[in-house]
Amino acid sequence: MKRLPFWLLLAGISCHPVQAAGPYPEVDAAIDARLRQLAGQTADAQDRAWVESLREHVEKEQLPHPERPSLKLPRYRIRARALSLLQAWALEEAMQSWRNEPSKRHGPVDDPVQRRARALWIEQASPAELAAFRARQPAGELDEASLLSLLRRDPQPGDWQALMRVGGSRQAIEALSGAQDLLAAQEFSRLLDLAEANRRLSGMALRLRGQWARSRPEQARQLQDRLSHQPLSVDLIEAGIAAGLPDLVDRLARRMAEADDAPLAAWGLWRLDQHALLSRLAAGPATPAHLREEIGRWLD
Amino acid sequence: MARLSILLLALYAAGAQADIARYTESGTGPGEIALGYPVPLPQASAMAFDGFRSHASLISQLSAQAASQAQFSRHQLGSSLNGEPIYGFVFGQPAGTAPAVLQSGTVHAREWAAPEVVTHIAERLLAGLQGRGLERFLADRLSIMLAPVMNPDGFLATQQEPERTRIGEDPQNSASDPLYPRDGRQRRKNLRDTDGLLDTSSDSLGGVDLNRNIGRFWGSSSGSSSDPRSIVYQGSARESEPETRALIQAASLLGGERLRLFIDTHSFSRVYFYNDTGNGRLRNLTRGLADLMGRVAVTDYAPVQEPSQSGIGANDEYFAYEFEVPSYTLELEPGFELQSAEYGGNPDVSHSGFILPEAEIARVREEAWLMALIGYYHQAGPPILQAVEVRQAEQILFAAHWQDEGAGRRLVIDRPGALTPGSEYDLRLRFDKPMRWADAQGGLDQYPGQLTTLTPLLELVGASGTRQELGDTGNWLSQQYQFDSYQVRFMADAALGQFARLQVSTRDLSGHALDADPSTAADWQAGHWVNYENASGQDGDSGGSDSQFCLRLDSTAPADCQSSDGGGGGGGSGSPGAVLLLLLCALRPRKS
Repeated sequence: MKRLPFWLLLAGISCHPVQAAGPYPEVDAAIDARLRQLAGQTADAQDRAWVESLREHVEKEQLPHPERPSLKLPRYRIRARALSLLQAWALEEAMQSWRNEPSKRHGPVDDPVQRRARALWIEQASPAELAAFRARQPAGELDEASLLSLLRRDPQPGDWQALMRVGGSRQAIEALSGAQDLLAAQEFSRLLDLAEANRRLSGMALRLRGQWARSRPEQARQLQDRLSHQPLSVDLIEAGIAAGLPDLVDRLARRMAEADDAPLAAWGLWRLDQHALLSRLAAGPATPAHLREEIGRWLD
Repeated sequence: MARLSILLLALYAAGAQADIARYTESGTGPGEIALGYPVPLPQASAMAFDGFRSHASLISQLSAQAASQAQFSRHQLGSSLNGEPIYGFVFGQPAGTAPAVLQSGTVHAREWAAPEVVTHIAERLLAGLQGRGLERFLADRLSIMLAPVMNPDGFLATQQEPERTRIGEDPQNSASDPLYPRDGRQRRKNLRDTDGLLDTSSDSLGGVDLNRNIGRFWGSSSGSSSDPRSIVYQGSARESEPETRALIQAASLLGGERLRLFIDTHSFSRVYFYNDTGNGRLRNLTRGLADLMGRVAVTDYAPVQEPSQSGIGANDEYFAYEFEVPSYTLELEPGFELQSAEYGGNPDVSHSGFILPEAEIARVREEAWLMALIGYYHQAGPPILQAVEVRQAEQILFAAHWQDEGAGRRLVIDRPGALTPGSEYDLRLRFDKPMRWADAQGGLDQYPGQLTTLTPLLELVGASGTRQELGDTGNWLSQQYQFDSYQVRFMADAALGQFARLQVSTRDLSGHALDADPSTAADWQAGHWVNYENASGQDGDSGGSDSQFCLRLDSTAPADCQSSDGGGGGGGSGSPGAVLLLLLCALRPRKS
């Protein structure tokens, strides 16, 4: 196992013994567990010596806490470095495990280290290994990180669909956005549908649809239809704005007459700086008292 | 591992030379700082996701909700130096009409977890409004103001430069920590005397620290600075900044005397900072509440008390001293030693704790929500035993409840009834707040991180002192609120005498014991509870068991439950066939 330069690890360390358990007993416990694991492994004797030396030292200098000068922060985060080492070891072991035992590559993994290892393994696997992996592992059972790795290596329709279902990060939508020119319009629209149905991706997906619709009249018409008939949301209105829909103000004004959608329509008109129109519509008898009061505060 | 060491070497080498550095996931080029995880970038999305929303998206989402929900409203507290509106969103009762809670965020621009957390709290409160859970209860009792972005200019400046910062300029730089970052993604202060643009080098250290600009300790300690270049610059005068005045306006809008809790949401350290104003009861309650909230997290948040009657001009001091309420600077995770190494990040990136990985924010939001929820619930006040019913075969034989009357309460007997000894009855107690937590499936559970005895201790205490436990086989039920009622089957022991007091000992989700005298409504004044009595009738902060309800065990016993046989309990024992009557009685004088 390769190591960090010793001087870097121990930079700034004095020779005071570590105090009783600090605020990170779980890290200390992890280090202890690692040391116990290493105890019988002569190959790792140097690693063990390292970690022990880390534990035997405390920070040389301290800084005032940014919020409270009475609390001192360690300038050299020895425990952070030790934890980083442990995490690197755990990842390397997991990677080795993926390499050595193909059967372990399949099925769901809950542990973050295992997830990270599988995503890394996918990026490093040979084409033959990847094909074998795909043959046994349905994309629908993979986590977001693994799916993103698969899409970087060898994108397939099932990967996209799975990602839109299980993804939750901007990376999922960014990946989809980056593939606009590679995917057929119908498929791209279907993937957007899937992402919109995924609560965590829905906001970003709607806005991406709005940008996409800017140069696609059919998509723009669909958005117009949704803005006229479907329940409104902030992201749907923003999609309409992103699409540059010319009659958005009129559509929102009409929806002010619908009890369920009047609040979002009002927000949309406020967002579009239609203050005079909003003021006039809010004065109508159909506007609920709370909404009228709220609009009054907005326009005040 | 070798690659990591190269990255670190490059980091140090680059840091010593470059003025502007770029955060990367793993880049090794000149001027690059490798975080070890994807650099968070703000996204336009009103819906929360596994990442950070743009300022506009956060405010849009809450504004639209304010238009939609009758118990949620938006108030402009002021404007920033650049004219950006500063909003507070009030959940529950209208501002100024009810006990109040204020939770603010993003006083410091780079602490991106804070606006997400404060917005998430609002979203979760609203999501629960239609149910019978704690959210509904809080909406009925409190005005909760959530102000997610108190420093919009600074926050926008960080979101415009999410990947870059300036290094090597801070006066605190030293040979051993040369990368102290300022401006761009690491801007902390507002935009006083600075354009907020990263590429303008002459003003990159400008701005006022909005957590050093307020209150009686302004400019009084080395914890703040009169040097405008300092990261903790206190400003030219106390409360000189419009953003500070917006916070004061928030308190004013809520009605300062109605305030019961203030939390200023920051990052990082996993700490609740609080003050000792010299009010011992307030100090103890504040510490206890910090313990309560801090235990919710999987890794505890530590309460840290500041030196007594001193300060640095921070916002929590202002609320603690001016309004005498539990007042905190909440520093979200990560912890101060590990910083982003907790999440697998590079352990040697200075100030990495301010850049929470996107993959962590959903968990942090939810954990902070659960901490806030129990804190708000606690400050809504202690519980009372609101009503008692005795049923047999679903027939209500006896019912009584406390009814609000002026500033206090009056006992109302809705239905008197006769009980037959030897028969089984269902006793139903209803409290005035949710008393137990429901897990994801709706089952009875502990509140996260708490250890509450789930079953109340119920006893009948005869006039002679004879006691009968009613057992622990009852069930929690939901009437007005989730798990606000407890029902148990019982059979009164005739040996208790002519009548017996119903003694109820239990604690709510936050550990509050019952207010033993509901006739006087508990309130918050001068840094402690008032009208919160224990079983002996003494006012304090602990409460006790409720003994206000009395069971008549003999139909000949007087209606007021005062013993007619010299205080003995023998009347009932000599008449095993006597009718049992339950009614409420005053066993001791009440306060006016």
